[in-house]
Amino acid sequence: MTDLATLFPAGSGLDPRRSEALMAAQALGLPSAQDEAWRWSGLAGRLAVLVSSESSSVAKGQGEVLAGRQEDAGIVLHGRNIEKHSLVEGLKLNQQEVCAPFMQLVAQARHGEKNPFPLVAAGLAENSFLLEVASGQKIRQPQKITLTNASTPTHAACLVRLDEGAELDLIWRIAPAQTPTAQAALINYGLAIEAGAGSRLRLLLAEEEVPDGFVSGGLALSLGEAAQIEILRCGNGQRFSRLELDANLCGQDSYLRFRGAESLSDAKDSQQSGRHSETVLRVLHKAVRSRSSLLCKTAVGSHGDHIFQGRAEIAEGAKEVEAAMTSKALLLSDTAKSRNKPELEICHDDVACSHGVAVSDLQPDMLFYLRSRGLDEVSARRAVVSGFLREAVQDDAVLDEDLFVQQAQAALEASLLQFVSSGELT
Amino acid sequence: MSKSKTPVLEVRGLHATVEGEEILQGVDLSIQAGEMHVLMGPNGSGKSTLTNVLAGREGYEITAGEILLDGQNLAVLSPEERAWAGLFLGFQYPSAVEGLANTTFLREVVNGKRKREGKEPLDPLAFLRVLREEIAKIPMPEHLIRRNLNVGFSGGEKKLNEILQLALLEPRLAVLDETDSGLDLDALRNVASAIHRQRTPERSFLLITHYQRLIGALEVAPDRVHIFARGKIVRSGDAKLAEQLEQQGYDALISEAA
Repeated sequence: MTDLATLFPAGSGLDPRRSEALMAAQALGLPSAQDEAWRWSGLAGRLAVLVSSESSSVAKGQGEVLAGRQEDAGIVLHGRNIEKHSLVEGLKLNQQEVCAPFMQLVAQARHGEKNPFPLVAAGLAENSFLLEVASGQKIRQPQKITLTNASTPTHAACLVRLDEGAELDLIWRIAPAQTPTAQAALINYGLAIEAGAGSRLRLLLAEEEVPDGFVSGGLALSLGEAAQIEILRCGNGQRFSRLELDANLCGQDSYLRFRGAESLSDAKDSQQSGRHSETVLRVLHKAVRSRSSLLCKTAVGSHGDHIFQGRAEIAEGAKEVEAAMTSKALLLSDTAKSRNKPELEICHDDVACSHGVAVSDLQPDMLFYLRSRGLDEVSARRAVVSGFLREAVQDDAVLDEDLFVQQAQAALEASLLQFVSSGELT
Repeated sequence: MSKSKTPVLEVRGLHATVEGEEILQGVDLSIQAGEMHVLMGPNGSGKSTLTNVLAGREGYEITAGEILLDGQNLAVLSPEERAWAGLFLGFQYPSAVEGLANTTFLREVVNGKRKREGKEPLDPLAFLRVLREEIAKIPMPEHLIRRNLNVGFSGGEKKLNEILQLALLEPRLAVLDETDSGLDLDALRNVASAIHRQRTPERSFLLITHYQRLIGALEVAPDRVHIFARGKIVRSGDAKLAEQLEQQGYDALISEAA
């Protein structure tokens, strides 16, 4: 049985607050077999494989995380090491005061689910940090943070705090190492976001393809009155990727929008397992007129394994809530899988909620239609798949001067280009 | 319309099966450049099968006969190669493709054609000018080109979008499969006018329909009308045959032909 204490020992030399986070994670423990059956991903088993096959790397990596890091690994803000970054006006980085409020937000958002990874991140991350935008400040330049997947584990914990009326665009990027490594390792990040009244955060989660990557992301969101959080997730998948989002819509008129456009590339050969991606979205509507709109679109290549689990819970008294949740998957191979479980739990009458799932393969009629207009078969397949994924962002207003939208679209197009240039679509 | 000696479309003794069942049972049809032919027939007679066989849809197997487009054997070509050869199939139910912008799609197919013709591709602005000209000629609402391909289009809008594609691709032969289905009277007149405006001395048409009303809406009568039954053409004539059909019904004329 793999346990967290073995995987991530608290050890000596840790700051007491980080040690506390790690102890809390260890107390929570890894999801049990029963939890994993519900989640379908078998995380404990996969972690055990990761550790047994890379035990020396993990041990070495952990030392490096505590003592320093490889040159191209770790956390980079605007291309520079985060500690040395010169701050833009209105943005405050603070690495000292992160743990306690981070843990508090994670605990509040968790809804009783067992997800120790954000706490592990808080315990082990050398660079836990706070992005704080003061009241009324609007940061126009998107803040870009890159987590590089190298041969050692990377843990990152980030607390984002938007005071009343503040605005921030954040790009959170998972990228392969610039110098090839013998094997990729774990990236584990936790993002705790506290959006104050009237604030707005736009977040791009861009996961570039790391064929052997193992990425665990945990998002804990708290939205105050009329706060808005808009998230776009795009990427080509990893060997294992899991994103768990817990959102509390505490303020009336608050709004959460999540758009996923993910493509799981084909296994490179018959010996290789395909990409695994799991998205778990749990949204709790506590306040009147709070709204959530969740749409995940996933194209799954050969041997790919896609899982979507969404749950919207409308608390008693949360009237006039609007909650919509949809997962659509496009299977590109007979060996591609998609499992979906959208759920609603409604404890108040006066609400408008919907949930839906659609899983399909490439429709021969559609391909024939495009080919009859002169597109060759590969181009027709690419057009259908690209269109399928682009639909996730088509309701975005495109403003030339909007750097965030431009970068989000560029990330999606890069992801599409990488996907359609390989495997099933060639 | 001018006539050339080599037909644009020549179908000879065509037999075809779908899932092992013989649907086409000896189709003979010859269409000259600039001609418009109309194929009429009852449900299940094999009209749509003929269009699918012409366009090369998977699952339709030619067991005998041949199809020549400008003398080129279509049977050995893929659907896209048939399009490149100059065949255009206007669908009864055009597919809707989520996320694929109509303009992007149209520019891709037009630039693909230009590339095959050795011409420079059109940049987005130049293409938009061409597109607007064609839209004005049809005419069709301009907002349709800003939407995704056929997504949320009404029946009439889909048919106009098919005509727009026809106009941009400039085929040698346009086969329009039940273009009048699902259209109200005004939409039918609009589509019929749009079809008429696409006629040229070089371009031929094969219109497939159940009803005489499409023929009545055309500004110029078709050159030939064929009655299709039991997988083949059983009777041919001029536009008056369609009027006769409207009065007497399929059963009477098909029995008479037998």
